[in-house]
Amino acid sequence: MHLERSASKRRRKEATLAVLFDDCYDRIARYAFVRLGDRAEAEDLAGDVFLKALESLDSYEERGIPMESWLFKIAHNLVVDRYRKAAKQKTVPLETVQVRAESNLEEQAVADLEVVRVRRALCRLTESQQKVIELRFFGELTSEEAGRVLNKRSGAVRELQSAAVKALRDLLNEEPPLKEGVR
Amino acid sequence: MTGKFDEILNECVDRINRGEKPKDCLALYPDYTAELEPLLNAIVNVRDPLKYNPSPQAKATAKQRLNEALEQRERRREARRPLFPRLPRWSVALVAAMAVLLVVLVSIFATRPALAPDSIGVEPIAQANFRLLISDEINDIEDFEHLYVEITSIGIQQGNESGSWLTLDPKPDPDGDGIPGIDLRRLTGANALEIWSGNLTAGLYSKLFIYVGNVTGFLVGNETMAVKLPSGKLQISKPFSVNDSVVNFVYDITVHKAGKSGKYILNPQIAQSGPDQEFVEVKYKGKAEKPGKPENAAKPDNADIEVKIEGTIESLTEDSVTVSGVTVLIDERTKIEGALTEGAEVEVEATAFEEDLVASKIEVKAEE
Repeated sequence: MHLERSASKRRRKEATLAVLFDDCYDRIARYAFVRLGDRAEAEDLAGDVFLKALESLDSYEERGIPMESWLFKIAHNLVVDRYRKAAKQKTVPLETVQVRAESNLEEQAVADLEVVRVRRALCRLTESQQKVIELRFFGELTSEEAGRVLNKRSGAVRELQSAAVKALRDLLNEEPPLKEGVR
Repeated sequence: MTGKFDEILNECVDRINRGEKPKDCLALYPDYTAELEPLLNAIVNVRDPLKYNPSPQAKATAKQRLNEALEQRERRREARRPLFPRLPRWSVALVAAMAVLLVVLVSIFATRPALAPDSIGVEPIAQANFRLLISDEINDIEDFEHLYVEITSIGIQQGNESGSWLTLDPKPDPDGDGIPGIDLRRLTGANALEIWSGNLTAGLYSKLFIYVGNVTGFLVGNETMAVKLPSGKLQISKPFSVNDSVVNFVYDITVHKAGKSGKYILNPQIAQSGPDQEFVEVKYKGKAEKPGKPENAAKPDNADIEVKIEGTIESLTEDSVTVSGVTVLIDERTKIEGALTEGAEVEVEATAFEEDLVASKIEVKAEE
């Protein structure tokens, strides 16, 4: 008899996953959107994260990383998979990305260009810096939680975060926004 | 110095994630304003354009997919479960003991007098003058093995029908099982479970609404059944007064089969509701936990059959121990006293849950 056969433990993990859906879905979708640049795809991926988690629930060990961090690990892997597939199949120019449905077309166009500018700056960070920014700013994980996803100590995450934000500041200064006061 | 600055910046990111503005953070660290301000502006400049609210429809679809997958897993588990499982010897003895205990309890309760009228609805509770309890009139509940009703909010109208409304937040997990929703199957007849207690301003109240989120039923035979709740709320117009003594308002919810459609509808049972109803308060072993952290929730109340085993450890794995032919699971709540080794004499306290025994305590006996 093995612990994973324990019905009580299985049900507890399933209930935890169901409860975390409400708390994490939006953050996972935002996290995925930063990389994928497509809202619908990001939302689809966020839903897939929970199904994938359910499939792998028996292998999830409660004494390891918290389930929330584990979900972001799954999200990261799915994002990387899709990113690679998309890179092989087609190239979507960053300029085509649509984010908001503003009523004013001019404002919308400016907002879209701002998204392009920010994503371009993010793409110029190192891979580790990008990951920490995505998890901290869009996944809204704490530095400890981000550390569990990235297999780093929280002190290393804080250092990496500082370097990433300084680099972002410089990159954004290099390419100022099209119109001041946008957002 | 750099480490200190990294920590300050990190705290500011946490604060911005919680909805604070960069200027709030700068006010906390005036000595670092020159260095911190451009970085906080960069954070906001990156975050804001990319931050958006995912579509509620996509979220609802994703949740439905997850719920269906969860239900499918449950059905697969049930299908795999043998009709007549091979029961270990201890369970046969246990069932016999339980049956005897049940007969004794039934005979005790059958001879007890009914609840005294003065104990009804006015049970004194420190620092609360109003308690809201949920109960369930039997009707068609027996078609269900479980019927989970998620209560999201409570509305009480003060005064007469033009009075203002109070909104109360129900306890996050009143039955403490870590699963969203109250299982009405546990609250049949006079059984009632507290979902809110606190102080209300003395005076007259005219209506009580209960707002309901998800309602999920598992029919006997394990078929999942969606239960309809017209308008998403349950309404009772039953005026009541709150004064110095505690008011125990029992809100009876019942489920009806809707004709021959095979569907079920949830309704308030007005005749069985109000501040003057007889009830037997149900209290579960586990304390309620915050939603989102059910991994720490107490065991469900069907997990309360305790077993004690004494003997020699015959085999040992990371997750289980076999003592005198009985295998008991070890989980993170198992309290282990002494070093577990094969051949050691131990005393095991365990809880029977479905087909498994889960150890709550394993004590290695000292050698004599």
